[in-house]
Amino acid sequence: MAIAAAEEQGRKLNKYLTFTLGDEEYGLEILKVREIIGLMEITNVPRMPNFVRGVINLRGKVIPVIDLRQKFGMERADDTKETCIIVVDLDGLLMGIVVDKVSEVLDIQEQDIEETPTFGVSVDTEFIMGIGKAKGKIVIVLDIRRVLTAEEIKIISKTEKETGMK
Amino acid sequence: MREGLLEDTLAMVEEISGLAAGMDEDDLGGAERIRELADEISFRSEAQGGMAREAASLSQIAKEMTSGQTDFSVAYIKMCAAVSRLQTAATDRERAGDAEGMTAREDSELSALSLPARTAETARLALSKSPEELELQLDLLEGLIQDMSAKDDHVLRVIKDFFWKIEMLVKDSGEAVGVARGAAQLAADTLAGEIPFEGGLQALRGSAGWFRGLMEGEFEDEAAADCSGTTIENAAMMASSLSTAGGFLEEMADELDAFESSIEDIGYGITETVGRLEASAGALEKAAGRFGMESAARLFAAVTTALKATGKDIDEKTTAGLKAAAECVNSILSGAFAVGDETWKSKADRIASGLAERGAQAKRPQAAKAAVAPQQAEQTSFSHPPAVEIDPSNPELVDFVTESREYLHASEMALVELEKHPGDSALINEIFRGYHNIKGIAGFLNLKDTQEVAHHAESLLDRARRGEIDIAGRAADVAFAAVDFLKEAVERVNAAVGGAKYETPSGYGELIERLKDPERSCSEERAAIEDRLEDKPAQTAAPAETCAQETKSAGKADGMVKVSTTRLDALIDAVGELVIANAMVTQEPEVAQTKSARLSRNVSHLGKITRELQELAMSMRMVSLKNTFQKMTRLTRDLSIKCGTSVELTYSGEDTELDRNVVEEIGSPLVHMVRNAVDHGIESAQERIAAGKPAKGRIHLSAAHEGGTVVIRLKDDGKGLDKNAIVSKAIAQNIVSADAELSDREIYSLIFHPGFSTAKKVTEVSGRGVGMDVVKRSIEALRGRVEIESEQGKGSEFIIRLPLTLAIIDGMVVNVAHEKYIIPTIAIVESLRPERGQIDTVVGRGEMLKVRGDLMPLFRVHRLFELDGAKTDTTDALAVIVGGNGKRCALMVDDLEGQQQVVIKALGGMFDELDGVSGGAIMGDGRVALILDTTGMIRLAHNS
Repeated sequence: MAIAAAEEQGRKLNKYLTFTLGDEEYGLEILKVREIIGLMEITNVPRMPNFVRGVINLRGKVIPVIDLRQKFGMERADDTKETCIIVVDLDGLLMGIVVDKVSEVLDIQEQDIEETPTFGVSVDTEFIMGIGKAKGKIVIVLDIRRVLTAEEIKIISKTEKETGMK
Repeated sequence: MREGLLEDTLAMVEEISGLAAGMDEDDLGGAERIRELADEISFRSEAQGGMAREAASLSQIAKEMTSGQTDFSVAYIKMCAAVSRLQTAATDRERAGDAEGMTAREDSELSALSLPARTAETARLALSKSPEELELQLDLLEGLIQDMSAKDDHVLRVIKDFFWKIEMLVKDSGEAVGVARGAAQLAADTLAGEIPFEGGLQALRGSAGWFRGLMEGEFEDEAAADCSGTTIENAAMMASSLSTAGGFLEEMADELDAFESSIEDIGYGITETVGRLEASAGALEKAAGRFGMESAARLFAAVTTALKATGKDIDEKTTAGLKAAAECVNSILSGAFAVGDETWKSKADRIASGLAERGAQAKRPQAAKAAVAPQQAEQTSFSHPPAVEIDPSNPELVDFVTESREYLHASEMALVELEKHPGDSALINEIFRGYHNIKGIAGFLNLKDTQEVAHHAESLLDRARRGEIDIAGRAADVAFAAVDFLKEAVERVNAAVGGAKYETPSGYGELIERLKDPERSCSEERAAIEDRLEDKPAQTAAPAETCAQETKSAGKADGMVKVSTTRLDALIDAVGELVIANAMVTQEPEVAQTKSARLSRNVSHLGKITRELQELAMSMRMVSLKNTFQKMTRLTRDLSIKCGTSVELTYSGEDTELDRNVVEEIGSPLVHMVRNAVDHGIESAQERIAAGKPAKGRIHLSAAHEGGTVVIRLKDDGKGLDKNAIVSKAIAQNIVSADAELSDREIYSLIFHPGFSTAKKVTEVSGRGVGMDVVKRSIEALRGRVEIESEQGKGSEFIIRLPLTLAIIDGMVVNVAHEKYIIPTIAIVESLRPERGQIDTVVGRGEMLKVRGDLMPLFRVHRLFELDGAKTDTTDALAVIVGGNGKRCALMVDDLEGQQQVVIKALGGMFDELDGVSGGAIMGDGRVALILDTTGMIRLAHNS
């Protein structure tokens, strides 16, 4: 119920944290963001799909970190000073996502978010909530819950294992 | 001209600091010279503010020193401080003058650094540099104290910290340290509830005020030296008055406790205590008077008068008045009323006048019993439970459930005890109180059935107390039945709060009848006990409750609070992180090699606090085994009735503490083992007598710490295990080969073999084996071990070794391809560097390692985990031999780094099904290392 309420508020807040991956700018509902931390040493977890960078120690909690570039099938970029980890809170499950650069918090009105076009974006449209326009920028608004469901990752890791075995 | 003067002056300052640095003990000549110089400075730089003032104060100190007014060492510290202040002033002065004097300033700084004694350095830091800091602390502190009107744990804790900080700041100024420490202690005691809040707050305010005075006197006022003597005296006085105030308040609280318990006794009709009550009231009156709590004093005066008037014929209303009085004062002491809030005074006066009135008309003796009697008569007609309406939204219900559980638990334990010591009136009172309290709350909440049963149980106990019936035997069974009924009722109420429909538990009418007449024969009793036994393991294993009750029952004595486990875990996480952060700061080269004494002192202080905090946090997870053991006593009682054997369970070491999770999990294996012991281990009375043993079987349960683990022993004096029967059965079941030579231990461990236990015949013959594989598995799940020792005819002993906590394991840190992994030490058999000849490659099946004739598979961790950059030459790498599930195998790693205790963290979420990794651990550098799960690794190796 609390989540539903938060979601409701999130929609009303219309605030999005924007970040870049390659040349594109993405947005993420601000209420899903717990914090932003600088890139730290990530412990590799074996036998995981390549978009799982590993785990980090977030003040005593061990949380998984996903490389969003790899998740979206982009080529892996070297980490820079601007590379950072956005910690998102998905119904109490914390997860880190590695992005190239965090830009700003943007107000995007609901009417300014358009339906996802079926082409022209380098990301699987399934993860996209819509294309937002604000301050003359085009922001791809992600449905982060879709991007990072643990179930899905489990399934992927399993299938990869299986295919790997064949 | 001005410049010349400045230069001269600076030279003088330099000379002073040189003198101060080189001063020996009782070097009065040096002090005299310093005084001269200081006088000279103060005269010369008269127009230049700060320096003159500092010089004057220095001169004053020196004078004091030479005249022997103050202890030399104390004065010396002050002198050093004054000298360095003078230097600072000189430096400031110089800066204001021109840049030319830079060299002189540097010189003076240098000489300051070369002050020989460490005290000089610290004193300088403490007294010259900290006024601003001290003032800031004091400002904040006073604000906090001012704003706190009711007891606020958080604020008190902060206040305590402030005093700690102040203690650090005034480190070398003698008595001030004492006051700061005393005040911090006072805050801690107030926090812990050992000192009543109001008094504690006043004393804290006083301490802050004292520091304010000290600061204004010593750090800013020019006449610092003059008042130093007085302040030190004050400090001593303050420190002693603080401890007196604390002690006094504690005393008063104790007396009040005694007073309250006397009232309670009166509530149960024990009128002998009236005299004691009177004495208590007198003492409290005096105490309150001494502490300036006039209303409280008046109140107790009224109490004394009322008691004198009523004498032994004290009636219920007077008792209620007394209770109100005690509660009122108690709430004042514990800080329920805001300081300065006058309402309690009027409340106290109201109670006092009420009491006086009662005292006046006390000549109407009215025994409590008389009031109860007609009620009782009326209720005998009940055979059907009264209708009970429950309003789930009533918040009182939740309290009722928790409180009743606690009372019932206490009553049950007291009942068990009572059977051993029949006629122990303290125990009867304890049980009585449990029923009584439940009756009270149930009545208030309109839970008529609960109220009735509790009431009749109470009456039963009352009769036992008066010696009308014998509580042992039938009556005890009935009392137990009442406890069970009430437990059930309470759980149903609990369910009803959650929305379920409330129904009175079965057996209501019957129970009421039996409570009224415990001697009446009861056919259902046995059935009831048997029923209970059927679901006993589940009940006994209800862990969360154990824990809650533990906390609660201890709560009375210690003023405990219940905290949700998630919060507790979050706290422990945070503390763990603090420890890591602290280590990172301490190891930082800039900090580790610092020249600043202040920094290194503060860092080490931080380290000390951190360690203390960590120990505290870890201890919070610990729970004693007492509840678990007590439950076993009850279980044994019921089991022995069922089995028709006479068995007594005793226990020792029940205060041994274990991690909460372990205590929760150990319950059901223990139940299994106790059942086995009673059921099969202990022979029948005839057999026992024939074997020359006492008819009553004995089971002893003990717990103790043994080298980092907790050992629970369950020892019985039954017939022991029959080795031959076990071996022949094992051979028959193909568990061991017929020609195998087995040690005793190996034979006994056969009964833990899955499948073995189900063989009925062995159970009969050997006397053991019901679900022992389950027992073993659940103990191993706790990372513990179980062993058996037995002597045929004499009895058996089950020894369970458990880790203190599940959160921490001993691990071996290994390197594979530049990654760190942790292998639990308990899984490691040995590690070695394989030689060429030790490794065989089996085509299509991988590699085998031969160790002293044993062949075992060798798995390369880097291959299993698909890591690059690991050592590939087996003779260069290390093989760690691990044993999991009876299978041994070797894991090839690059290097061993060392053994270390690590805190286990769940990886959670998407890593749940990850083979070969059981969790993560946070290393000293803050990084995460994965903990290898050896059985998972083996599985992984077989699958790939």
